[in-house]
Order: sequence, then C-alpha cells, then structure tokens
Amino acid sequence: MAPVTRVAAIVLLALSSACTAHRGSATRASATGEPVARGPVVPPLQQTVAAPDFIVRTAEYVALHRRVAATLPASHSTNDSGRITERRKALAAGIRAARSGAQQGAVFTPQMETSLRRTVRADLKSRAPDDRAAVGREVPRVPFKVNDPYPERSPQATVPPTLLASLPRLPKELEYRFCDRHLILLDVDANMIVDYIPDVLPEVAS
Amino acid sequence: MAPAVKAWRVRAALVALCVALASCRGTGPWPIWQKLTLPLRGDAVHFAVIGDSGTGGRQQYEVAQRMAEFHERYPFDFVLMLGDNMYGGEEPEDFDEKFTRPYQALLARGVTFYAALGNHDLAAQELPFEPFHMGGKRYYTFTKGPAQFFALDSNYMDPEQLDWLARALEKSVAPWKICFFHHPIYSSGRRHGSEVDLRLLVEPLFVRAGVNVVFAGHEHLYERMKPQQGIHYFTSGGAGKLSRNDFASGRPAADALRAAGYDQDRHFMLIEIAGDTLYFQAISRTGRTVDSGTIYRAEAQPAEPAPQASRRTGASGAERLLGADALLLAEVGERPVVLEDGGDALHDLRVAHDDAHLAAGVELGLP
Repeated sequence: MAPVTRVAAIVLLALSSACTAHRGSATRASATGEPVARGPVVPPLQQTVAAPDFIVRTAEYVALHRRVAATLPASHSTNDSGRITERRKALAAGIRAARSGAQQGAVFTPQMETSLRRTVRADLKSRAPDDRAAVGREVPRVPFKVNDPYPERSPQATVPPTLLASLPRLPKELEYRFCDRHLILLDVDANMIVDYIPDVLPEVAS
Repeated sequence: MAPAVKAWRVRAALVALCVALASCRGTGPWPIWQKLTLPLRGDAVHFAVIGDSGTGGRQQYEVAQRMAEFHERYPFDFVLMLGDNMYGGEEPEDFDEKFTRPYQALLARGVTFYAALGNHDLAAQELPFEPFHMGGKRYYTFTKGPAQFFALDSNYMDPEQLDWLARALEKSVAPWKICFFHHPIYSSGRRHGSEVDLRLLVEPLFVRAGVNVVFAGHEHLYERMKPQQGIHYFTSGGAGKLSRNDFASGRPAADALRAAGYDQDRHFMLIEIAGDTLYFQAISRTGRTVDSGTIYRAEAQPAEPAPQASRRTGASGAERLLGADALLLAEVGERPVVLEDGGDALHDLRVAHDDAHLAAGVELGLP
C-alpha cells in the first residue's frame, strides 16, 4: 500500500472509531430512553491515551487482511461448504505468510496491554463470584501462539457484553475473545489468532 | 400361583398393553400421541424452531424425522435455528452430517432455514453458508407476513450490534416482533441459567420496541417463561443436545419464573401466527406434545418506566438473580406449570393426560 493511502486509511479508521465510540454512548442512552442499569465499569478505553496506537496497529492489520482477501475469490453465499473452508484456510495462510515474524505484542502495544488488563480486572472485580467464574467457563484450554488457528472444535467463550462496551471498538474483521486465561484478538474470517495478552483472567475465573 | 409368577404375568400384560397402544393409529398414518394442536390457518405464518441441533447424533436425526412427519400435516415454510448449529468440526463432511442429511426431507420440500450463531458455531464457516440464509451477517432481520424476525449474535453482543438492534427495532412497523438468538436472558436451567449481563443491555430495547416473543437456545431443554415485562420467552435448546433433569429443585426464585418446561428428551417447536394470535406447540423426539398454547398480541402501549435488573457489586449470583427476578415476579403472579415426565415409552402413552393438564394450564389470557 502506498504511504499516502496507508496514512489516509489509518486516519479514516481512527476517525471512524472515534465517531462510533461517540455514537455508541449516545445511542445507548437515547435508544433505551432511560439509563441502562449497568454500563461499563470503567471509562471506555477509547478515551484513554493508549488507544490511538492500538487503533493504528489494528488498521494496519486489517489493511493486510483485506489485501490478502482481495487476491482470493470473492466471499459469496454458497451451498458449497467446501469452497467456504478452502477460502477461509487460504485467507489464513496468506495472512500468516505475510506476517510470519509476528510475535505476541504485535498489535497489543505495552500501554494497551496495561490498560486492557486494568479494564478486564476492574470488570471482573465488579462481578459476583458466580458471574466472574462464568466468564472463564467454556473457554478452550489449549496452548497456542500468534498466527495459530483458533481451535476449531472448541466453543468460543462469550465475552460479557458490558465488558465489550468498555473496550476499544474493532473493525468487523476482528473480535476480542478469551482462550484459556488469555485475551486474544481473533481474525473472524480467517479464524486465526492475531495477537494475545497472556493471563488476563485471574486463575479463579478460569 | 406363586407371587413371582403373578408379578411376571402382570408385567407381561402391561407390556402387551403398551405395545398394543403404541401401535394404535389415529385418523391419519401417525401414532395417536402425535397430535397437532395448531389450527393451520391458510393465511397464517407457519414455522418451526430448533436449537442446539448440530450434533450429527442419532437423536438429532430422530427429531428431524419427527419434524418431517409433522411437516406433512403442518407444512411450515421455514425453521429458526437458535445456534450451536454445528458442534465440533465444520469441515464439509460436518455440514453434511449435521445439517444437510438430517434435514434432507425438509430441504427437499423447500423449507428454508434461518440461523443464529451459538458459541459452538464458527462464524467464518456459517455466515456464507447459503442454506442458513444469514447473508454473510452475524445479525440480520427478515419479515414474513405480519412478523419481523431479528436474528442476533448473543455470543458477541458488541456495541455495533446493539446500535443496529436499536435502530432496526425502532424502524420496525411489524405487528409481531420476534427476536431469536442463542443465549437465554431468562432461564431456570442449572447448566447456564439466565444471561443477566446480556439481559441488562437488550431487554430495555425489547421492552421499548414492543418485542412480543423471544426464542433462545443454549440450555439443552425446553422452557417457557412467564411473560417478563410483557415479553414471552422460550428456550428451545434440545433439538440435538439434552441436559436431562436440568430443572433441579432447590432454586425457588429461578423455578418460579417457569411457566412450563421439559428436560427429559429432545424436542422442537412449531409456531403459527395468525393475525393477533400466536399458537405454539413443543414436541418431543417421540412426537409427543410437551407444551402448547396461545399468545395474544398485546396492543402497543406507552412505555412506562420498567423495573431494571441491577448488578450489585459483591452480591452473589443467586442474590442478584433473586433480586431481579423477585422484582419481575411481582408483576407476573402466575402459577407455574411444570411437566413431570419420565421420558420413557410408558410416559408417551400418557399424552392424553398431559395434554389435558396443559390445556388447562398454558392458555395465556392476555388483554
């Protein structure tokens, strides 16, 4: 990608993220007409200084994802599950090849890691013990590294929606998930672990 | 006659009676206990509901076979899938084993399926799978006659999805608004229970928009809750999986929310919407009706401040549930109808008794 295009993409993504963050909080209030009983337990991370760099890194990753996706047949609805599997695996392989040297921390900057740890811990602390334990329930306990596929035969742990509301918003290609005690960044289309923060969930929750 | 011989003869007679009854047929080619309670009106919307179906196991195939049999009498047009459409792998052979083959008869008759994602579903595989009609989206809406359906991804309820839901519900002018997704926000199941966190965010939207009915899965059983803030909640998570005896006693607050429940065998649901009336029927793997009834659409009323469930720091899950549910129970005040069922062949023959019991118990007299 040309430098100018890349900068423009990053700026656009950052602006869009800021706008959606603003719109999100407004919609939550106006859509319900009354305050939701429990919002995010800590100020949303979009407003912290750690987020902009993280947004830039996610934008770079998504640009890579889209570049690889553009080399593959377009993703259309199809009866042929084999074609879907083939495309998903080709997308993952292409991304993996393009970032073969990626290590833990490639997307989650150290500041972001600290902020996310604090946010998740604060959220968990606000929960009753049963509720806290439920966060780590049905989480796959498998070793993994960056660029590995998310274990396909394992369920995907549900990230509590009130916690999700506290985290920086992500482009549609990415999701926050828990795998073992770690917070991972999941590429949804490629079903691939892009990055992770180790041991975010305390042992009691897992 | 020796007592042992006498007991043996009594047992043999009972078995013979059971076999004789089991081979009885009604007016059609179906066993007498496979009754259809829905009116089957010509101008109505007819559909089925399945949840947690995709095991590829024998029981999933048997439920699918019952569905196909009922379809001959009750030709429903589409099926809502409440998530966990595929357990385990999602390779092409899995789609075949866990979807295409079990529902082959329905697919061949042109029945369409609309899927929501569960925690066992792989979005990358299922969103573009055409027979699931998701259009590549985690959450989507479609309309059938007077009913608008909203499929949600409760496994990842991010702010974008909540924004979309708020806007889509606000825009909807359909008389019937029906949401379906995987995690139940009201459930008395022991395995998972109510998803209170999710409830806090979506329930105010449902109430404000006048959502009428919500279907969820996740708990591997059938449950109909007492209406909560005017909304009817069904859990139907047993079309493939089963958590037998999941309705354990000893949790009065949770149990008191239940209007009817069945946790002894797999099941599916049939629904008919005709004008302002919704008819429902839950049917077991053996074809027995385990719940049925009618819901009347309440006219849209000005939204009053609704009691909100709250998360109190430091309170136990049970205390929180009790707090929220006790608040809601005060509004409902309906006696629960709980089915007791052994789930064996003998119980199947007690359908007439159960149906009479249900007919007396489940009619919901809403204004």
